[in-house]
Amino acid sequence: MRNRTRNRPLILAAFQIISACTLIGDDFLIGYRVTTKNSAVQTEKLSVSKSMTPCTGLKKNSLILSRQSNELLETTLKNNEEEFFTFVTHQTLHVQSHQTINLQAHNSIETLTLPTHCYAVEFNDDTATITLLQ
Amino acid sequence: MKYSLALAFILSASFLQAGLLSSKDDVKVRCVYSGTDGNCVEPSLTATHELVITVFGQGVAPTVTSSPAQAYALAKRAAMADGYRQIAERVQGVHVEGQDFVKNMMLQRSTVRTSVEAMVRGANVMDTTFKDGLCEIELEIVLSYSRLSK
Repeated sequence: MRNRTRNRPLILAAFQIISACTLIGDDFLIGYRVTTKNSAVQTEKLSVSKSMTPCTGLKKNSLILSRQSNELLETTLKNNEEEFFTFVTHQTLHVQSHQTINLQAHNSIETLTLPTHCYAVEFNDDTATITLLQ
Repeated sequence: MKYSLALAFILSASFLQAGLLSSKDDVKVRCVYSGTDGNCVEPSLTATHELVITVFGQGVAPTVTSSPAQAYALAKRAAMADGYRQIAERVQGVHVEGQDFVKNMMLQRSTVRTSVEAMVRGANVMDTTFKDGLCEIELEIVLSYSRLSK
């Protein structure tokens, strides 16, 4: 006769596998904004938050980034900001520019904004795959 | 006789290549809108020809940075913003507002404000150079009827 207590590790392992499978892929809302003044960066803001509701839309372009295990997505994006920035610039960007020229000075302010979109992110041990959902 | 036959063959081949084998649909307008290419000063977007706009964005690194890599990254961001602004200016146009203040027949103050706001999609970075704290990127965007209809 089997002991009930012996089944507990098996049940726990199955529960962990199921929960891990559900947590591997998540939807994130990512937005980005950079403001420059007189051709020098003034502010740069990357907004990352987990989507409260599942995103709908077709999977578009993907980007694979290297990451440390248990690393937050925001940290991964900051560590690979060159690749990520190149990836997002292929999408639609909003540009806003204001220049003021008078007898004394010339001032320019430019704002480049990546509108917040939903991305499906799959975490692996050493990589994260970011896919645009549109 | 041989020479005349050879000459006739060469001439006919060249005419055939120039007139019959080449079709106008294969020729695409690829030039800078500002008119650096002599044959393409004012290109126009048509149903069969795509229009390529190339701009050069410039950005400088902030005076205080923690590392040369950060200086390069920030200068590149600024250059990207400048490049996107130029693309928006060329494709959409610029809103210009001028104001002159004259007192006792003398110009006291003169101000020109320009602004542009647009959504840009599909611009590609063709080249990036970084020298003496100045980053310059070559941005290219291809306009075509098929892309505009998307």
